[in-house]
Amino acid sequence: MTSLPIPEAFDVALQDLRTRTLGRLQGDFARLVYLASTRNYNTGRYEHDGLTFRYGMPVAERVLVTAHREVFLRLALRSLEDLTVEVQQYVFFESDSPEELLKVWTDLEAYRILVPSEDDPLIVKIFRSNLSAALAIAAESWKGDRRDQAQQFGSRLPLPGQ
Amino acid sequence: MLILIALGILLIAVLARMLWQSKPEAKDLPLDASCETTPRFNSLEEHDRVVERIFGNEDWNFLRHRVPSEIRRSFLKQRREMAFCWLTLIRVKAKGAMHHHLACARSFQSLEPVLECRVAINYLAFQLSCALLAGLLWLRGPVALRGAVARAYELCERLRALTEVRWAQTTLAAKPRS
Repeated sequence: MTSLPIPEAFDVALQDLRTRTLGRLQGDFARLVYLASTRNYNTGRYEHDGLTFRYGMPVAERVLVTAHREVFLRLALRSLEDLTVEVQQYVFFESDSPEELLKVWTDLEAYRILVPSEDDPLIVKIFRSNLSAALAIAAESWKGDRRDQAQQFGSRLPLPGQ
Repeated sequence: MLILIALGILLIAVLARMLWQSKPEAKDLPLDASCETTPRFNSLEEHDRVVERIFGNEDWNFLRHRVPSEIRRSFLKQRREMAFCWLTLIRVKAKGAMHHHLACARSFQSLEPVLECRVAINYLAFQLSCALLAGLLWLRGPVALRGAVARAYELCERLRALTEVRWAQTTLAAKPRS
């Protein structure tokens, strides 16, 4: 574990998380999903073995809280168009079955767990509203793509009598 | 006379349609209707971006041709709820400033009539502006209302600045002379 004093250790650990872990993920939405997944659903506390091992539990937890809030705010206050691009990137590139993911996220409202616990209620409302709209747009676009593919495939088939 | 009756019927029809549209629907996008009055914005920029999201037309213009009508309706309904939440927020802020101002004014010996008049006129203008904004929100929703919102917020900030004058005076008067 590092012997740095807590304020310095916090800065180093935050930078470490940003470059080593979050930097490897494609887009802010994937980062948000990752950071929300480091929170224990039963206790509400953030847990990360690597960071805890290197910087200790209090620093690791503070770093994860800060990073989660940072990424959340960046996404929540972005335009619906930008958010939709982020969501589409996540859904179509991170998942093997985009259709299933879209259905589960829409039906179970899984996106509710992405929100940090101490944020402004109005910003949280904007995020939830925009995210459910972005999921609906992504679903429509997915349906549209499937239709186009089906039409293209269909047009290559020989017509009856040919 | 007939024209007035027709207008009355038309008005009732419009109101009935609005009430019907505001009914919760099964396909509505989920949103908590509760409204908190203590904002936790970190900066003025954050607040401005919240206003931009709620009252700007960018998001609506992007959404309107891409999703089915029930999603569009639900989106507008949520935006309206958020807009009313924002309005409640600045009303509470202005009310708090006024209460504080009145408490200070009561304990202050020499009142300044000009300042008191300015505060009262400002508060009235703010209340009128909020009422107008609430009416517009109710009638046509929050999209593209940025101008009216900016005016209401400006009035709220001016009121806060005016009431701070009295607060500073009270604080100075309360300080023991060395």
